Amino acid sequence: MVPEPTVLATKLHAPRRRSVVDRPRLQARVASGQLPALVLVSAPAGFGKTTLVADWFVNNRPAHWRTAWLSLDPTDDDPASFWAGVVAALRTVAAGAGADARSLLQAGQPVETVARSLLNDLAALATPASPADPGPETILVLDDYHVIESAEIHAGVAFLVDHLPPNVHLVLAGRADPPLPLARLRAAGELLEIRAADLRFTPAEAAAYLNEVMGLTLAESDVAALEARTEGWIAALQLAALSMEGRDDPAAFVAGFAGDDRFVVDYLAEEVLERQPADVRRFLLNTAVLPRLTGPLCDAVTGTVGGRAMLERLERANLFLVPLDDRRRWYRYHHLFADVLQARLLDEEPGLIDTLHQRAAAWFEAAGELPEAINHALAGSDTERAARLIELAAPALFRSRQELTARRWLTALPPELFADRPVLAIVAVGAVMVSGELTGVEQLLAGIEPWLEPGADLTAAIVQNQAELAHLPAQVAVYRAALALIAGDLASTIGHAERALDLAPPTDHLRRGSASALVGLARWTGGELAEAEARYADSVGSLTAAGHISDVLGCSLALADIQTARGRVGDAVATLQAGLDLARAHNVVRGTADLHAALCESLLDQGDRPGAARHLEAARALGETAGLPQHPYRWRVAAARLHLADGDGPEGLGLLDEAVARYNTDLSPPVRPAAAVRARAHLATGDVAAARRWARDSGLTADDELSYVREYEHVTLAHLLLAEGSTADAAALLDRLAAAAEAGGRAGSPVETPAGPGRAGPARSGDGPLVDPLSIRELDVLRLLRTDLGGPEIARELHVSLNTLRTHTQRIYTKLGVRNRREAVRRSAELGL
Amino acid sequence: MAGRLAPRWSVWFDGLAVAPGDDGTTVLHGPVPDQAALHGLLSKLRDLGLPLISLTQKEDH
Repeated sequence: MVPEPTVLATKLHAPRRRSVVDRPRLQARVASGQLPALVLVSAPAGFGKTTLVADWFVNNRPAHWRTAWLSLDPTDDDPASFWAGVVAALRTVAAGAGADARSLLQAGQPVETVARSLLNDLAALATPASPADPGPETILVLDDYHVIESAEIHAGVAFLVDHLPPNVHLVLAGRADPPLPLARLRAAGELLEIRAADLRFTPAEAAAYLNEVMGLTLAESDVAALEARTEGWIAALQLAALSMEGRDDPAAFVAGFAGDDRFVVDYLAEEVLERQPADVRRFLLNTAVLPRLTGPLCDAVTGTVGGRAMLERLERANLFLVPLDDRRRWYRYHHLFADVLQARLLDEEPGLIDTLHQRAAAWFEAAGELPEAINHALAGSDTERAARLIELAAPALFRSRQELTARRWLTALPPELFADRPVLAIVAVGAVMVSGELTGVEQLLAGIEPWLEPGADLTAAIVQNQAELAHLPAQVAVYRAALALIAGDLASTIGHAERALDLAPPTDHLRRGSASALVGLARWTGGELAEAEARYADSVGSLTAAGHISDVLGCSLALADIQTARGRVGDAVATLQAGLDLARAHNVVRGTADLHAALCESLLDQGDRPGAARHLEAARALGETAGLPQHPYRWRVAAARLHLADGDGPEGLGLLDEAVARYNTDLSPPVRPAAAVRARAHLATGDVAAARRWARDSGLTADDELSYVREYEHVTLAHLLLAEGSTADAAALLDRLAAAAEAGGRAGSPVETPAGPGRAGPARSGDGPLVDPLSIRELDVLRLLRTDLGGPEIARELHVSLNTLRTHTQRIYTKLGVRNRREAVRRSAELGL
Repeated sequence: MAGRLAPRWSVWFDGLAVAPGDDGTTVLHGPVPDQAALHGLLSKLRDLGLPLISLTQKEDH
């Protein structure tokens, strides 16, 4: 069972506090008519955003509204934490919601896939009960959304807003406008905005608050003066009211305040703090470092007792304490007030701050709350404790895909801490490499390796997680192999990966699977296809056992490519289909779009055009983000081939142009560059000049030294030479290619004769049965080729253009391995077609 | 910024000098290492509800 990022229950608690004054003018904004997709409450701190949203959607909501609430904090600026929070919030209104989204998250699925799954659940929730009863409205509130900076999260939220079912609404409250397409939503009438100007207390609301709620009996002119001085800023008016409570002469206070030009909060907070008894003041300053407070924690941090009673006292005194649950256990300070308190503490007792954080870290550690303990340890410069706790928290963090959080913590540690902490260091290597980077990796590995030397005294190492220590040698070897591969050093890749396989016990599926895949990749790049295929098959088995399904899918794609290259399209289809079955069984999406696109090509190779089209459609429906890094170009190649097979040259070539622009093999050998596929399409559609430009730009010549990686390109060049009439050069090149394939032990390596845009496939002329059978359409064409009809007549007969007919005949020639109509008729007769 | 701010806020703003003026505004000035630090600083102003009037880059000195 994969752990989820824990979501604190207090973050899902919708505040029960009501607005201190009735605000019918604001209540009317939501009460009137249909709620839009997005409600945005955007204003600085202390403008009553949270209270207003709670009033609207929790306390005064109509019976058929269901509100899911999530209070965000800076630790949510990590997609894994954020979406786990969203799912947990939705589950408070619908028990089963987001079950799929949660497993998608844990499998590291792209955010759009997660959002899509959530939307499906939301749409199901929002189904009208009957025409008369439109059913419930579901409202998701994300409070303090301004703490989110991750572009990935914003993109996911934008996607969500764009696709919300009509009965589901998103409410974002925060201090800054979110980077969402607000103008478009506004124009579409799908945005309700509440801004500072709307939230400010009007003079009437200020009067109601100060005199009726706080019982201050202020003169109208004093209320007006306060309202003007604070500009209706609610937090400031609350501070002012606290400053005046119990004063004999509030008018004098108002006069003093109104006549001063100090920043209102600075002025008022000082007033309020100075009026507090010494013990309250000290408590406020010492506990201001805590993002959330509870009695025993406060006792630990202040070194006193009575924290719980003090919190209740502060709440009764309206000292900006916000309850986070219904049981009066957890609280937080109002953010604005907390900032003022912390700034004051920093000014008065800067030396105390580390100590306070360290005490909080110790308390949270004892309570088993590692993330909060780590945050406080880092804030309190207690890096030893932070290092120890990060090592313990890391495995769960990685399994729940919170790599960003791990990385944020690890980069906060001084680098020298890693020297005697080899397990922490390997965690850091993983956190960097998982995001596709290499910064600092070499130094970290170099720091670990001395611990692996024979005779190294491991008792001197600081290790929390002994189980990980056992995996260390194999893990280091896997990372070394990956680094060698990135550096293009195939021999070292194989050396390190084989060492990892020697070091990893049979039960260590993850490291065995990674190492096998790395050997497979290196062998493939070197053209050793049989060995590569065997290793990829191993890695598929190991990674399946390890439960890393998306990685299995990536390896299955490589395996299918290799099987195809070896002329075994049927096996490739079986590999890809098994991958799809596995993904379905494990509810994994990432990588399935790639499998469908690859199946489209394989079925085309087999002449199953309807099947190919079905898989292409499945890939399209999943969307580009459901794919691995190669998917954006690969599905376009597949789609192009389908169009070209249908005789639609312009559409196919357009898609190939897009594929060329997106060509990225993500460390796989570039054995079938999109540009070469396009050159073959140009040849097939008669544009020899374009193909020649490709050859020139790629720097290919018939005299090149041959390598497996460039085999497809050189075969393409041979096709080009034939098209240009350089038959002798083409034949010489093809013979050299065939010899190189044989020398490389690639007996089945496909050295084709001219050329559709297809990938490697058919055997040479005269060999056994067709690997790449003719499609039904091509069989139609072949039937007419056996007649005496000329090209234009055949085209008319088939209701296609002459160009399309040429595409078909070229493909038939390619598949049959022949060069002209006469040979095609003879060869097809031999094959009994 | 609009409003006078006491100089003791300097330490909250990472050591920038806090200079309250006679016109009811305050100038924060000092070196900011990079754009990320600048945005962090702006977030701190925002979180306190301090109304920002203008932001100027001074010549190197």
